[in-house]
Amino acid sequence: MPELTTKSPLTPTTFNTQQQAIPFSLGLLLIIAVIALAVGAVPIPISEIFSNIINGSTLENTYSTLDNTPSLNRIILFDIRLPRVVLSIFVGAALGVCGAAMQALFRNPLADPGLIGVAGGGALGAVMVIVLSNSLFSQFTQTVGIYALPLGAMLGCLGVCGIIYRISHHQGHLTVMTLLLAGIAVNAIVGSLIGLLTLVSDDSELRELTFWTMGNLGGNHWALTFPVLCCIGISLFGILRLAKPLNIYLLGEYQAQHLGINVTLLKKQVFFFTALAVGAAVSISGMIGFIGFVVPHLVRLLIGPDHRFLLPTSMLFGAGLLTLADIVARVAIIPAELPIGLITSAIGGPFFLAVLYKQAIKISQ
Amino acid sequence: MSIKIDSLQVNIGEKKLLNNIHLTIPPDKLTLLIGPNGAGKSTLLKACTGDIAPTSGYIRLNQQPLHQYSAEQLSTLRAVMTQDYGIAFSFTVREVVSMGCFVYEQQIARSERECIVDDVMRFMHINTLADRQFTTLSGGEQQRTQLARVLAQLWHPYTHASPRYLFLDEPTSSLDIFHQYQVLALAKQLTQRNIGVLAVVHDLSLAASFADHLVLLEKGNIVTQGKPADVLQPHFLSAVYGISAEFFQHSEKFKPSVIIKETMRA
Repeated sequence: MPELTTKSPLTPTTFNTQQQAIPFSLGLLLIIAVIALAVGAVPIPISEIFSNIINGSTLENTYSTLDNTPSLNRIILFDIRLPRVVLSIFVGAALGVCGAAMQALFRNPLADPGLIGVAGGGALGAVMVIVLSNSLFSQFTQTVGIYALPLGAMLGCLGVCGIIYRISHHQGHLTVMTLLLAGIAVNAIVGSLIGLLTLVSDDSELRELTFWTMGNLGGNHWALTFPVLCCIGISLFGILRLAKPLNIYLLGEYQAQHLGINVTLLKKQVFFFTALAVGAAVSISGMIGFIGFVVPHLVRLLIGPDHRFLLPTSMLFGAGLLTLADIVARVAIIPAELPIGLITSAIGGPFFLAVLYKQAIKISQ
Repeated sequence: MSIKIDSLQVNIGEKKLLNNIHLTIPPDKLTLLIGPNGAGKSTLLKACTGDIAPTSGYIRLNQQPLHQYSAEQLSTLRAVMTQDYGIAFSFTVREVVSMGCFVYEQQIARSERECIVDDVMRFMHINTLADRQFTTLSGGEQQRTQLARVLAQLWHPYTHASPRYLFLDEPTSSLDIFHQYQVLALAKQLTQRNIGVLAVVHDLSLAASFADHLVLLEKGNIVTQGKPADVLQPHFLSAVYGISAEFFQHSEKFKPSVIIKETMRA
């Protein structure tokens, strides 16, 4: 009988990769975030960023310099770039974590948050506001002002998610197979409604909604960003707490139940938090594809499927990747901007293919 | 204290899967279910684990109706190995087995859990596979890994004052002959730790060798139950399975078996 008592819990390589993934991705995110604050149409030296953040980190201080005129760089830093970078971090984190959670919920590596209607619902809400703001919804747009578009998108999200939830919810149980099929059907209906609205839109509306579906993180100040950050923050906290139950859930629904997990409650929590986080993200940034699908997939290839590591690493990696993509979006064609959805697909696609290719070589050897 | 099943009936739609079942599963016995395909063995087992709700009748676990337990409470009282266990993502064998410790994870130290995982993996002879990915294993190795996980669930506390139970649905279906006997010998050992075992098996000789209490099912009814030598009588075997066979034990030194003369049904 081989002696096993001195054996380490996991092979050194697996264990180390898992342990190091979180600090590594956190470091990467911080570096990307600092670069994101520095580069842009007006470059700000990194030393100035640090001195500004250390000396006067609050907005009030920005305006209380001796001559009462804040430096241009400070305004750019605190009013334009910081909210944008913070937003990209939160939106990227939400997409990364929710993608991982969806893939666990459906027990399928091909799932993404779009399946439960967040993307389609958000788009429908946004398109309705854009196209109908001058006619049907003029009252609504006047009342809520700048919040009209994000609010419309968020309501669309929650509405469509709610319909899909109601269809798949029977006698206290949420059936994953029904959820998947209902998601596909409802998304198709939503798609046709969007098409219908596109048909009746004029040229400028058409342009606006086209750009909305390609995503954009710019032009949002703190007043718009803050509610989104709150929604995403709550959801991320909620989902990260579910890491262990989600691991057990991957054994199978009955098996998880036998191990003492309230499977129905777990599924409902994942559904709710994902709808809230991605709904909030979509409402302000438009549709940003690929991150929610590719990030968790990539992280799983690197460190394995254990959600205690997979969820936080996907969160940090998603945040880093989206922030990086946003840098490219801002600087690629100064003074104009590229839609970020194009960049995430353009960076993420080839990167993902390269990893797949490497994996294929590894397996065939 | 035991599991008591009273006038249990399970229907799905119009179809009766189980009819008027009376059965007691005591914590110091190995109870085996046998019967042809579709006899209702798995359904009975699932009713006992709470996966299927009875249409009528009662199941009491340690004197309390089964449906009054929460999933969490049940998980400390019983472990279940099902027939199908697809795992979508590539966990290692050690990770899968460790999941069995989820129930008492908060109560003991990590090092103690690692010892338990090592113990059960050695028991099922999968310690050399610990770092392999579950999905790359053979059918038998996967089955032994799942068994190790299920055992881990009952490994702490090692003995428990109130009776616990283990449910195994065809635990030996993919195993070689050595591991078939090993698994049932292990199940029998568990009964000495105040753990009652209910298992479904197909191999009649295996059932004859290990069962303390043998239950023969056909078309949702219990045909007979009792000691193996009494249940495995030629007239029962021919009526239920359509085989002409006999219970046979050479001497004390050998395990009993069921020997077959001929099959009667086409």
